[in-house]
Amino acid sequence: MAQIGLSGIRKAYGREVVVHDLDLTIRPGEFLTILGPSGCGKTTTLRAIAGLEEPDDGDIHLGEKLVFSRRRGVIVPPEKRGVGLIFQSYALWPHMTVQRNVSLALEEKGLGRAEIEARATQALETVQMTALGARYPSELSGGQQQRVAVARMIALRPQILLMDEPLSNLDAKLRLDMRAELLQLHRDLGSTTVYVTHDQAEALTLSDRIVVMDRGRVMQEASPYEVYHHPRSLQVAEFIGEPRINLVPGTLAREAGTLYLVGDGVRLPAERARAAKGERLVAAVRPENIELSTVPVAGWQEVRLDNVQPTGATTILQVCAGATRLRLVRPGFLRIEAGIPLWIGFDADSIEFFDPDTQGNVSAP
Amino acid sequence: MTSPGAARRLRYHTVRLRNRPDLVIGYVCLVALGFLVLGPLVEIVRDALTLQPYDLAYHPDGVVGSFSLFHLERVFASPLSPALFFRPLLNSLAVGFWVTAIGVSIGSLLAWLLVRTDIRCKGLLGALIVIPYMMPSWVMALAWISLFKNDRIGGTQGFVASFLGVQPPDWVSYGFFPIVVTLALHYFAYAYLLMSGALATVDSELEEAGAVCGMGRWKRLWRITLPLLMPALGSAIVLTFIRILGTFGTPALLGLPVRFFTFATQIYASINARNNGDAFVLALVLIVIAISFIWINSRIIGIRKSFVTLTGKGFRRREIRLGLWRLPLTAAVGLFVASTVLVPLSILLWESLILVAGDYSLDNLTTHFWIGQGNVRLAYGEAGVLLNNGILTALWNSLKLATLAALFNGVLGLLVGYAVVRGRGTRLSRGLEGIAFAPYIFPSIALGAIYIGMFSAPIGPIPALYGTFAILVLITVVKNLPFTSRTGIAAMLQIDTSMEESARVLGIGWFRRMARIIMPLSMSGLVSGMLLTFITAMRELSLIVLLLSPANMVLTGVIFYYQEQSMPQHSSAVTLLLVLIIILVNVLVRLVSRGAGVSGLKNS
Amino acid sequence: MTRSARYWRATAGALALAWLAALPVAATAQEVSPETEAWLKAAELGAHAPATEGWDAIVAKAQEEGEVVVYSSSGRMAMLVDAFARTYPGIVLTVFDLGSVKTVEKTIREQQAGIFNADVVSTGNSGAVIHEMLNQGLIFNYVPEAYKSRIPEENREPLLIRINEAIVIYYNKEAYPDAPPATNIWELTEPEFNGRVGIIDPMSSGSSFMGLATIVQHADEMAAAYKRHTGHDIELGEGVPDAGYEFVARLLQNDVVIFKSGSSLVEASGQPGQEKPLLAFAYMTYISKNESDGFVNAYLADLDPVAKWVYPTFTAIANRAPHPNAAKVFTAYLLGSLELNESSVLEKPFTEGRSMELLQGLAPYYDPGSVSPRNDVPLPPGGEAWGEMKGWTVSADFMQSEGPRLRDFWLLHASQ
Repeated sequence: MAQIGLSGIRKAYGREVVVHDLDLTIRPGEFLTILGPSGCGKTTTLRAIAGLEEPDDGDIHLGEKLVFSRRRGVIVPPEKRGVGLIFQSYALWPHMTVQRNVSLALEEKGLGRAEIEARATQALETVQMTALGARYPSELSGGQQQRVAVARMIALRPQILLMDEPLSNLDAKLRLDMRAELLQLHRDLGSTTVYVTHDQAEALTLSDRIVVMDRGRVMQEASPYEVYHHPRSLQVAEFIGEPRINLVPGTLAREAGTLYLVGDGVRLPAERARAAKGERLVAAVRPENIELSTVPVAGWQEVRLDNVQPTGATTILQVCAGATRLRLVRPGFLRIEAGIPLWIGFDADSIEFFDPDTQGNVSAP
Repeated sequence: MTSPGAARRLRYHTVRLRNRPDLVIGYVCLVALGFLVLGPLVEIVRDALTLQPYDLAYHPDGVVGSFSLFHLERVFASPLSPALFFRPLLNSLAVGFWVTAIGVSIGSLLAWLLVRTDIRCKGLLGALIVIPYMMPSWVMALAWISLFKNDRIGGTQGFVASFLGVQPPDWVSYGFFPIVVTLALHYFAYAYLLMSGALATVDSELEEAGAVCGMGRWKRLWRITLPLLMPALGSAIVLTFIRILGTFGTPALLGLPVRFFTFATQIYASINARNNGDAFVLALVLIVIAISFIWINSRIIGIRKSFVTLTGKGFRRREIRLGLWRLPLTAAVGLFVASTVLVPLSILLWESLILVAGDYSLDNLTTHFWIGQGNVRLAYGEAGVLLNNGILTALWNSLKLATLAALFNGVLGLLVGYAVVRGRGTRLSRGLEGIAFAPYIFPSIALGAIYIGMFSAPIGPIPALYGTFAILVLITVVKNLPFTSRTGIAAMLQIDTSMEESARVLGIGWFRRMARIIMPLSMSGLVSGMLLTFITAMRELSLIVLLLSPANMVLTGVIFYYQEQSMPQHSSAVTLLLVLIIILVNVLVRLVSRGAGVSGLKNS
Repeated sequence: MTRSARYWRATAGALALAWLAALPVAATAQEVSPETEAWLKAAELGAHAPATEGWDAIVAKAQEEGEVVVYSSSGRMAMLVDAFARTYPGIVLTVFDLGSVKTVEKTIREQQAGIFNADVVSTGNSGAVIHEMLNQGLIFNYVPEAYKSRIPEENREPLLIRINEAIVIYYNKEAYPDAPPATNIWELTEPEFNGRVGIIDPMSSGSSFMGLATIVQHADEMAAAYKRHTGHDIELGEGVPDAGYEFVARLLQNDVVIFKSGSSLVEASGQPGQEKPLLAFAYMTYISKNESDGFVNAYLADLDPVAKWVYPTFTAIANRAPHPNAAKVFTAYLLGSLELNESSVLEKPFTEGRSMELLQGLAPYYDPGSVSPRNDVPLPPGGEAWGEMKGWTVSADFMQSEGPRLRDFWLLHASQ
């Protein structure tokens, strides 16, 4: 187990700044995911930890060791950092067999030939690729290639494990299976793992902590629960959650003593908003936090049902309240006809409010 | 079988063909190329095994055309064999080996520096590096002689002798050493072209994966990068080696004074003596050597099933930082490139300006041979190069020939690529690919001699092409087909079948598909193939020298004439003109293609 | 072997056999074909040559034909195009300058294929010209009647010679100001001249080869010269048939320097300011470079047994020439005007003015060491030595029958 510390990391390509002044501490044994859209700087950060990118400024510590410092002139090359990296493309060497792909990775560890082969064989067994040990990567399917990449890590047993979108080249079903295997790998190795992805579901399921990045900056650094329920900015709120969060812009108003956010055709309770009456805010409500009734309920609002999309265990409904469209997710395989009137209710504690100008969360904790 | 059944099957196959334009093209090309390529081979074999008019001196009672093993005995098993065959063979193999080793090493190193590192001035260096290849290969030899001539040859002093006062020893001035050096300085550019293309496709991530596992720089090079480059390296080695075996000009210039004979010089001497029997047996040996090398190469590569580039995201090409070495290496490469380009060109320029040979003083310079009207007392009254009608006509002919050949070849290469790739795996495809590559193994001299015979008479509807411009274009196209078919195949491999399929489903006919979709998508590959054909055609002599006529004189023919008539100023001037034009066209094409959005010229 | 592979092997084998079986049977072309016979009659050549020529009628017919196509081994022929047009307006001269080997090759191959493109064929290479072309009826001898009395028989039978040239040996006057360095040819094979004799590569230069062949041809005279030089009989090396071949072998053993280009060779021998310049076996016409290039070459004019080795360039009318009368006119043009005689005053430049009118086709070749077959043409200025130098002439029969063996001999001994 080792701690990873980045401070003041900055990287620009020409005039385009890809990472702005990044500070990050990854605790020993933690599974940290860096999450964000393409071009947000997450891969650059990961490669900087590995030593494959040289930041323009900042320090990087791996455990006790300073492996990079522009100011102090320290640059430890990747071959001396002792991290493990699973590439997005797996980077299997096409001119070697599967077995050799794994055993070659071990050759720098100073082990005897016999032990190298033993570890390689054992690693391949763990990923159930023993039968294909003599094949070449071009003869394997995507999932099989990925497993070979995992086997390399199993054999290497690195203290720090880095993964660069390792599941993005797989089909949906395989992705789900492999997710679990990667988590298992982390546990078995007991390593500190940094995982990079743009898939928020992966981030939520795998991580101890998530770092959300956008355009080279850290938007939020918190546990999956926190990131999901208390997003710190609009970008984070929009990025996390499937189906997407509902955003309702409106103005704060007091009615009968209670604070409401009045949108275009809809009205949400706004007790948690830390702002004054008359200010404009954006409310964010998760689809699963909107209640639904087929009969009128006091205090609930009438909406029109636009469409119903059953997905099996849940149903996604799209309703229309005035000019505002909202998405709902309700449990069960619901069969409701579109066009009929429905009533929706909000849970005041689950609504987060954001300042439309600063994009920041202005809700009470 | 019942005949209605057979007729129905035939009709089915003909209809099926209509829907498979690639099959139609494939068959047509196969037949045409079979005639144009295998025909000469068969004739070479036949003439090697029959009695020729020249042999009547040895067999006064023999009948010309009758079967005879005489040539084989003469070349392989007579007292003459060591001189005619074995020693020249060893010399050729030795030269081939060393030039390939040195040239491919230099070329690969330069390719690596310019493609994978952050060396400076890449654009400029990259453009200059290929210039040695655009010059006729014997220009470097002429420069060497001017520099290192010693008093064995006598006459005017070489540069080194006159400025340093020391006569270079024979082994420096002539024979094996200078032949190897001058050929290496020409062929390295060829290896550079081949290797830089390959290096551009090596995925950095594979090396990074090695780094992360702890492999140091050299281990990564040795275990990962080099093995990935093996196919390209193998090709570069084999192709260079075969070319050198057939090179005539340089060994003739540098080997003769010390009696260093190579295979090519022996073939040439035999053809000059009209001893076709000997010449063709030797040519066959060259062809067999070429074929075996190619075969060995494909076996070594073929065994490794795994050089398929794994597609998918993550292809990265990261430059290696040279750090402190950056400036020194840039300077070193710059110096090297400058000397291989500037030195020969300067010598040519100098030679074209000298009034009296051997006088290196400045007041001996004159522009007469460039823009003079022609003085009867000098050089038989030949007008200066830029005012000379004969030369300007030859220039026009050269450009015409090179351009037509390049265009035809480009289209033909694309068609061959289309047929080969679309029909991949079939016998037709493999056969076509092989035949399209076959002309490479023929020594140019032999091919030219055979084509005289083949086209002296009409063939079916085709009139006798001998003496026409058309035959020059034809033989140039055939000889350069190996390159364009390779680029054509590579270009077609890049185009997914879905591109064409979507067009077919939309109802777009074959010609429109080719013109609107296939050609534009393969444009960069096409252009580089055509450019290579253009360059090779402009500086080609041995291929067409037997087929030239005054009406169809080209620049290289003019240079040859001036050299034979010992008019060094004119020959140097025209050579310089030729090189400058080739460079100019090269630059123009690159500019236009970049402007038109075609991504930089990739190499096959 | 799989079925398909067997199938392919069988097809390939069958094809190969078919090709080899379809070998042409050599026709003995001594028999004249009916088309050639008809052509000879119409052109009044060969057996149909009339007793007296009607020159004006020939010129008139030539004007009608309008063009003449010449295959020439010499590039200088092209210089005659404009001048010929001035003398005979209406007849266009087209010259194919091919070098001696390709001139023969092209003529033979074309006629074999039934293409009759050429009118006049002019080339050296005696063996091939006489035996493969003349004797096979690919070319026919033609001497304009008016010239017959002015050309000695040996220069027009069996084939008309257009020009005679020679190989000689040059030495550097500056290095040997008092006396020539050698008086007997065998001295060149001795240690004093080791590596100091140059020759144009006989394997690539037909004329250089003919020079060598002429030496070998006169083996007895060479043996006699040897005896005169050393006082005893020559001892032949192993496998060497006679004294002529022995000379060649010893020359090679003595490290003769082989040059690709004649002009580099005479530069090597003639460039002033050298310490030990070469002796050069080179074309006699290169003496003119003394003036143009400042060389100081001189002939070894008085050499035992001979000082020059003469080789001719022939000119003939091609079989079934499309413009036979124009060919005749051009042949006459090549021989120079009839006004030319021993007392004609000829001034440089020979390709202009009055000299051109007199010399006509001879003008580009009017160099020292390049001699007209006529006996009434003055020797070119600077080339008077021709008459004084003893020489041998190459024999076409020898070239044809011995040439290949001499080639082999050279190859064998040059490669050691």
